[in-house]
Amino acid sequence: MNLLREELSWITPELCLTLFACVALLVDLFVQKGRESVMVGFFSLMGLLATAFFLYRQYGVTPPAQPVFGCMVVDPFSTLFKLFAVGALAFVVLFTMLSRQTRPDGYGEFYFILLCAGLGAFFLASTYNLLLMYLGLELLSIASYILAGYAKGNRRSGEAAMKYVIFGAVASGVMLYGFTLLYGMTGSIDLTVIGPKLRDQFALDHGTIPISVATGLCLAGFAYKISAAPFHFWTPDVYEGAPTPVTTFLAVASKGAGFAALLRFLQAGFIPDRTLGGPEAMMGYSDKLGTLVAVLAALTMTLGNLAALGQTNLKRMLAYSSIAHAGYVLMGVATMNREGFSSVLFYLVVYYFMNLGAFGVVMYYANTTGDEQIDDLKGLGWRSPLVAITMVAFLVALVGLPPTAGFIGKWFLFTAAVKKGFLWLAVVAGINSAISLFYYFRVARAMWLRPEEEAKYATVHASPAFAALLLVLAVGTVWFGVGFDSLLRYCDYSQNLLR
Amino acid sequence: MPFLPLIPLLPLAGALACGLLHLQVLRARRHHADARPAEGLIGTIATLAVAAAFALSLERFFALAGSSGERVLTWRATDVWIPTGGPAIPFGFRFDALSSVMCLVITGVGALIHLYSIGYMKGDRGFARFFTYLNLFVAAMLVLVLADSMPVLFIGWEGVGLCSYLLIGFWYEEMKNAEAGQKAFVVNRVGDFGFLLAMFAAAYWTGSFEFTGVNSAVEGGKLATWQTTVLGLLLFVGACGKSAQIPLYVWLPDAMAGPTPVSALIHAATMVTAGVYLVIRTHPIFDVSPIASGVVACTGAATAIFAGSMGLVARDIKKVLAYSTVSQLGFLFLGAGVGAYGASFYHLVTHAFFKALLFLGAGSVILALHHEQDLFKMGGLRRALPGSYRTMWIGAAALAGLPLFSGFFSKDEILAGVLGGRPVFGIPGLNWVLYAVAAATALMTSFYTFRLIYLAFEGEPRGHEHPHPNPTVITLPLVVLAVASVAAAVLGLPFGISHALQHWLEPVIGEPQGHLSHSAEILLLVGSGVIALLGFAIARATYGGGLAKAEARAAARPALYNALSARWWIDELYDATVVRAVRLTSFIAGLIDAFVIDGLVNGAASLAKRGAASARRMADGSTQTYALWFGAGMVVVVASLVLLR
Amino acid sequence: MSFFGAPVFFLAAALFALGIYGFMTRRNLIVVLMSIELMLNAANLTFLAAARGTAQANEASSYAVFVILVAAAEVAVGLALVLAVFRLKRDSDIDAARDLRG
Repeated sequence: MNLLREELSWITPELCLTLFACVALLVDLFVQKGRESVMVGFFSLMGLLATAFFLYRQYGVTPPAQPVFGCMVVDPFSTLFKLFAVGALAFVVLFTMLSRQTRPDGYGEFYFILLCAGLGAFFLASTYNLLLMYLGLELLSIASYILAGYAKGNRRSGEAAMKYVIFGAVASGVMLYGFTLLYGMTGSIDLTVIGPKLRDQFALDHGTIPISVATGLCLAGFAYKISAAPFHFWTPDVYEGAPTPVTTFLAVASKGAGFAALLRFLQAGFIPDRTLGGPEAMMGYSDKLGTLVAVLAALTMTLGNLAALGQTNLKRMLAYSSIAHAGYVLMGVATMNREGFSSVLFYLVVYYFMNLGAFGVVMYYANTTGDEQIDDLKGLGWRSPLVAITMVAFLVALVGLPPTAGFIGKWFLFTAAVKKGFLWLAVVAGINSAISLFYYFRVARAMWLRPEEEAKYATVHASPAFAALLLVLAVGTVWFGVGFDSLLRYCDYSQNLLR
Repeated sequence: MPFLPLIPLLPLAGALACGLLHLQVLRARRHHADARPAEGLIGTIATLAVAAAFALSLERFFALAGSSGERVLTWRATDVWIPTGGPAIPFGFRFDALSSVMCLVITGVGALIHLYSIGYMKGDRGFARFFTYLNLFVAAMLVLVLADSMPVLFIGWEGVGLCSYLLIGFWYEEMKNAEAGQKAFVVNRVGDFGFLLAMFAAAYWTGSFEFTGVNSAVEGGKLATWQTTVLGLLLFVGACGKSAQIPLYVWLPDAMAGPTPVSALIHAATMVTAGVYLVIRTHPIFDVSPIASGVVACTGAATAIFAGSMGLVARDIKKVLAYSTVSQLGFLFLGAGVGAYGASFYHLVTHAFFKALLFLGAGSVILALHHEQDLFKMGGLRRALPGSYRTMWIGAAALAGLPLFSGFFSKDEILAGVLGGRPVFGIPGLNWVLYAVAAATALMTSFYTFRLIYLAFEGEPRGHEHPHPNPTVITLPLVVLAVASVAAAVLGLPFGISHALQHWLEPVIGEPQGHLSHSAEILLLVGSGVIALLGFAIARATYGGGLAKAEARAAARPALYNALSARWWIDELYDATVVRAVRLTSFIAGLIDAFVIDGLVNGAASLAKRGAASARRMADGSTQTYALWFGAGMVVVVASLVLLR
Repeated sequence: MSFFGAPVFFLAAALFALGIYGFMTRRNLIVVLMSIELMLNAANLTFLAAARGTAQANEASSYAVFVILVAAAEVAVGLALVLAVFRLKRDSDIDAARDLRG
């Protein structure tokens, strides 16, 4: 019994999130119509705050990697991603409360589903058990399908949800089949067992074909989740069609959780322990996997950036931009070593700030004008200078220019890739960054052009709450471009302990 | 050394304050569409910020002069600003002989131009925005020259580029101006690419991002010659972009679209010299590699004569000065290429004074004539704008190199350096060729400079009858700069009378290479004087009577008169040779511009456009198509893992 | 490694391939959902077959039960969303909804 309590105490954040998800559902039942959004949103925020508190208590835990129930682990890596998810959820909840697009009746259970999706991200970040990974993925995905289609009666929202559910289901099916093949080979669904078993098989130098098939299928599933080419086609459609707060969630929290699972999967099973020295065949396989990921990275960033060039819809452009950024992050994954993985973590945190901010601005803008076209941004800089200036900060970070965090993040990814010998990939990424300058710049330019009809949106101003949210994100974006030491250390440290 | 970071921080604070005031104006305009900024307050803040930076630089300068030993003040924020796998990147400033003088020039000339701008920009809707950018520029430029490592310099490098872009397109409502800004932006990116590659190559080969580290590694012979050559050439590509050398010069003439004080500060006195500064800062690389230094010298000479010849026929008063600036920058590179760093830097300083003076004077003329820039529509301004006339005459004399003005001595020192310096590409004879080119350029310089003066100030008014007089804030900086244009001569008089600047710089650039005999020096000096006076005389003869007379004579050219009049012969010759040559070269340059540069840009652009179109076509909205891609991708991923070794 | 030689493994692989094939080629939304079911059941079959005759047979069955549950939830949501699109478009063709593209 004490043992149970001990283990349960390690998953208080998860329990807390579950509890508040249920509370949100109950509150929705009792609150009078028309006020759900505010009340339920408020309770959800409370829940996220409490969860963040519990997470913070686990921040510097000893022992640094605590197994829970034999299928999860509480370590700095998972804590980082959970904090990431909680923060993203909090912003999404706030955005939802401030958004008009999601304000009509029936938005009480929206928060419940959102918190459930967050719970899925939690499991995804902290499990080393393949079945739980699948369950976490499905919890996240199924909740996301519903969220994407939440604007009932909206054709675009419906289409987005339909495309999302079909590809999501296929991808998870493919991944699950890959998992079962791994199970067939090793007799376990525990990554800590699978890793050594695979190592043994490599040592005996047989069975690389089944391993290749299994990892290939798993990789395809992960690639779908993080929207890497050519598994990315659903992304722009879903991002464009879904309500903007949901898009924000998908682009930030969902993608982050996908990367977390991918890193853990690769780290546990396919990175030879270079200090101890793995079998030669495994080294070769790990490098081959890295090269494949590098090719996917180059393809992803190129396709994402090129398609973003011609976009006129701001949300769709940001969707392609997020694909391109997944490509940059994959560059760090391709190194298949600690340095690369910690640069991935670092970049994801940066990505979190700049994308939350950029999507937040899109939402503000869509709220005030009911429009998402880039050309209609005209004059935003004159009407709401604060919003426009924060947007410029996000755009500069997205391009990857100093003094923002985007530059530092890219810098680490580039150095990691070059050191691993992927000079060609760094060159491709450099060219891509240059291309991306054009479409980000177009947005910035549009904001500071004078509109022909000055009076059109002249009455609309950012609410102070919204401006404050954007300011927080902008400060984060710039802050990590200058004072990134502690974050970098944390990323490195959490990478160290990943098992 | 807590003072050192304050030097760039002061203008930065000024920029912030002006930016906030600008936001306030924007806010006020929501209610009153024509709300005015508090011009006095903004101008005072901005000017004082730069003036304070000047005072601080001066204080540090004297502290430096008083110090013994290595003569360098340093400041380190952190040794590990950006950790890399290799050498860490520090963040720090270095105030030595070279950067101290740069700081003084930037803040000194900068403060005067700020003061001038208060008058020039009076009543502009973007008054506060202008001073925000201008202060920001000064801050970035100071970071550039103070940087002790390449990445920190790069921050300043990009900062000045950004401000230059913003200020060129300052009146962005006009498409032409916005396009000029974009051109500058794009061309500069080419240079930046070179600089970045140089930075990484240097760090990779020498194990240091710091100038001292790189320089000492090169001096210590740690690098093979091909490595220093590559390094030098890459650095020079960066310098070419910033300092508008062939083939990246195209943006500078267009950059004149910006307000005139911007042209004076950024595109004449400070930013465009950053390339030369970079070459001098990393001079050991060029000392070691004869190929890199030869390329620098030859590009400089070619740019000098080419841009100078373009200046001969330009009609826009600012364009004349712009081509002249490109040409003089070519001179600087020529000097740096042959190892005459002291002479090159000397000319950099004097050029900063007199070219800023000329631009500001041109600005006062333009302002007086209600934004008329065509020289052929000016004339007779001598009486209406005596202050501008006198000061600009002094500036012109300095630029032309009339004896005893500062430009005379600094230009002569470069010419002497070309003959006495190291052989270009290791071939001694080439120096004579370059000398001839430089001398021809000097002749052109003198001619077009006084052509400008005569066209603008002498003869009868051709257009504007009633120019309005300039206020004191505009004339005062002109007078100060005019005095500086004369007085700067004392920094380096010939025959060892004063080698103040050369001696001051020795800790950085070392002893001057090669010496000419006294008699050779005298000969050169006389030659320079004669060349300058000759150009002056030709200009006077051609344009001294006013444009109307010159044109009348040209229209009614009786054969006898033509034959007798040497003036006409010169005009004819001028027409037959120079104009045609210029037309030809500008035609060729146009071709290069159209096919090579635009071709590259457009080619890349159309490639990207086509790529973008097909990337968008791939996402055709059909779930079935996506499914096919998904399946194919899965098969390829699995197959490549299975099949590839 | 004997497992990969067992006939039941090939059956599962065939089911999976069939599912992928159906997903790639079928235009009817309901059939696509059915293809997805095939893929999930291929995974279940592999789970069970791999553990057959070993000490983990019970464990593997529980995994399969989880997967079946999740698949049910997924199909429920999927069908609901597909129906929503169907109601708007009056067409069960997978490409009936193509507003989002480019």
